Formats: sequence, C-alpha cells, structure tokens
Amino acid sequence: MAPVTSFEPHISHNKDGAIASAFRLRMVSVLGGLAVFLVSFLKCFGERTMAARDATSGSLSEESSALDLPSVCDIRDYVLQRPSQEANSEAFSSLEFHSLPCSSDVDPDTSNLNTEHNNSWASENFWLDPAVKGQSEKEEDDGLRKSLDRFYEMFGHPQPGSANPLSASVCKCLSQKITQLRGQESQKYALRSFQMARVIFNRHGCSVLQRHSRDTHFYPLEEGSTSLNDEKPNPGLSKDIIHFLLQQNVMKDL
Amino acid sequence: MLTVEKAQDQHYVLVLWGPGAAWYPQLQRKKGVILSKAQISELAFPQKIALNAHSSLKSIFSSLPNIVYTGCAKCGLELEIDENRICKQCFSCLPFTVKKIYYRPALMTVVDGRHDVCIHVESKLIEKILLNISADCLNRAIVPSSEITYGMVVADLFHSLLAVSAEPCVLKIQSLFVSDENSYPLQQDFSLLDFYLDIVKQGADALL
Repeated sequence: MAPVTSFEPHISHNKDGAIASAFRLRMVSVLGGLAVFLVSFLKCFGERTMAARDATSGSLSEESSALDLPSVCDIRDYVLQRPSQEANSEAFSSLEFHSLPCSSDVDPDTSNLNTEHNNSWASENFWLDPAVKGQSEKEEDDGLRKSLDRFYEMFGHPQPGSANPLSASVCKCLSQKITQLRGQESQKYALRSFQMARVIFNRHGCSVLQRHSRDTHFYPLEEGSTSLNDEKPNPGLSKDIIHFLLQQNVMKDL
Repeated sequence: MLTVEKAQDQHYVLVLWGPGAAWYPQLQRKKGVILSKAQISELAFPQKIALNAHSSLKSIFSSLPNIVYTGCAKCGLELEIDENRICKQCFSCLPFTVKKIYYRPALMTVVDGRHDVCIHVESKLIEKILLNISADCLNRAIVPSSEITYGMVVADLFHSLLAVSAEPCVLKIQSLFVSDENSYPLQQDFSLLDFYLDIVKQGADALL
C-alpha cells in the first residue's frame, strides 16, 4: 500500500484578504515499518495569495480552521537592516532613484506583514520610537565610517610580491602625506583626497604620472599642467594630487 | 600684477589713462574674476537638500539619489521621466540619444571672516570637487572585492568638506554685477570657476 500524504492547513484571513497560512505535512507509512516523518512548514505571504490558495485547496483536506499565526518579525529589525543592504546593493540605477524602501522591495521571506504594513514602511516617518531612530542612525553612521576607513587602509597598499618600483615610490610618498594630514582635524578633505588617490594608483597603476612626467622634464610646470588639464580625469584622482606627486619627484630615482 | 581693492564699501570707478590704457583689454578678460580663500559652510541643492556641518555621513549618502539627474549627454538638458518611469529623449539633439547622469547645480555658501557669500556651482565643478567622480559611477564598487562604492566616497568627501573645522579652500570666482546708470550695483551674482586644494605648496614645504 502506498504512503498516504495528508495536509492539515490552518488558514486565517485578515481584513485585507491576505492569507497567513501554516501547513503541517505528515507522511504515514502503512506497511513495512517505515519511520514516521513530521515536517512542519510555516509559510508567510506578504501579498494576496488567493490564487495560490485556490490552487492548493483542491488537494487539501481542511480538517481544521484553527487560527495558527506564524512567527512575527520585528519591524525594526527589517528597517534597521535595510539601509546597509541599500549601501551594498544597486541602490539607485541610472533612471530610478530609491531613497526610501518601498513595498516592491519587501522581501516576503523576512516579513509576514500585508500590503498595508508595507506602505507604512515606505513612509519615512514610520518609526516606533524616536530614541531608537536616533541610535540606529548613529550606528549606521559609525558603520559606514568604519567601512570607509577600513577600505582606505586595506586597498591603499601595493599587493605583496608586486615589484613595481614606481607604485612603491608613489605609495610611500602618499602614505607620508596621509600620516601628516591624519593628525590635523582641519584637513579631512585633503586627507580623503590623498587616501583615495593612493587606492586609485594602487589599483590602476601610475601611467598617468609617467605620461606627465615626460612632459615636465622638457617643459616648465605651467605648460605641463596645461596638458594635464586637457586630459580626461580619472575618477577618484584629483589633478592637484598629480601635481603634488610630480613636484615631489617621485620618479627621480627610476 | 594689478590689485584693485574696494575701500570701506565705497564704489569707485577705475580710470585707466596714458600707458595704463593699454591694460584695458587684459583687464576686460579677467574682469570679475577673483581668487579667494574661504571656508565652505553649506551646499544647497534643489528640493531643499542642504548639506552642511550638521549633516551626518549616512544622511549625505542617503540624499545622493536626489542630488543627481538624468540628462542629455550632449547638451546636458534634464530629461523628464514619464509615468512608465522611462526617460524621455532630448528632441533638440536627435538622433543623438545617449543619456548621462549629472550632479545638480548647487548654491555654495562660503564664509570669509565675517562675510558670507552664495556662489553658484555648476555640475562640472561639483564633479571636480568630488575628485572627478562622475555621477554615473556612484553605485559602482571601486574595487570589485569590496562593498565600498564611489557614492560612499562622494558622501565622505562632502562630509569632510563641510566639517566645522575644515580648512578654507581656494576658490576662483566669477562675479557679475548689474549696475544702474550711476554704476551702483543692483545685483551681484557669483559663480565658481575653479576649485583648488591648497596642498601643493604645503606638500613641498612639508617634505623638505
């Protein structure tokens, strides 16, 4: 005799018609001493799932209409989690700007709320507690600050084993300047400019320096800088910093 | 080098005569251009987005989508987005249809001692201030193995530029005066022509 599968759905309807349902699946072996498996699935739906219910109800034997509410997610957990995901993901494409989470971004696996709750998440004023908002913003701010600082350090040094003397010379020069600027509270913008330049040179090499160093050997700095201004700039690299490096003669020993 | 200084808010006429009359064409070219060292206290964008010393790093990063726009890559005209969220074409540049993301022009408030002045900053200059990071690549990772995007660095640059204790920057400003028949200025507009980090000189001195 074949194993019998029975479903015992517990279906609840809220006022919007969205369904939170829980299924219990039990397989029972009739012959041969097979083990009894009890598997419980809890599935939450954030949107109307009437069609799904209709599709599955035919195969279900509704033995009970008891209300069996799935576990509740804390809204704050979702909202607090969201901005860091945005920071890592494609938060805004070339055509669409999403400065706020909206209902279409809600992940049904992490929430059990219906569309009404989703719309309230889209409101930037939806916070349970102002103190919580202030604290979480500070945490996000600190988190972003730490991530940036880690990035400038981690990717600001040549890879071990890379034997490019120009890159090493440039990195050393920039690092000296960064150390000097780090102690000066008023020079944060300059510090970031140098830190970013160090990352870009480390990543893309120093060809821009080599190109303009050839020019400055034969022309005064003013004319060299004219040709530098004509060139399409590298993102993350300030021309002031290129001038600075050329003035430091980073290539003099090469 | 010719320096012309206004004394005690009085308005005078600069008269060139004799050999000095030959300077007129050169002065005409450089008229209204000044180099000034001033601290930037605020950057105000349309839709009431104002970045200043009170703006947190995170709030600046969150506002980035609202300080950029999609425009024609040829003429820079802002392109509207229709009800289907499709960007309209630039009809005057057809058949050219390439689009680009630009920073919105901003109004920069600078402080120099007891004076503060509002300066118009065009998209190109904003990009220069942001280390030439184009608005097109804000959501691009700088290094593939890292989560840090150009947008996060842009937020960091804004944040550091507007810090309370920030060192004054060197600004090249174009001034435009509209005067009445008595040469009394009725309107005074400033626009930013260039922006420099005053570090080249610092660098040469520091490492000697």
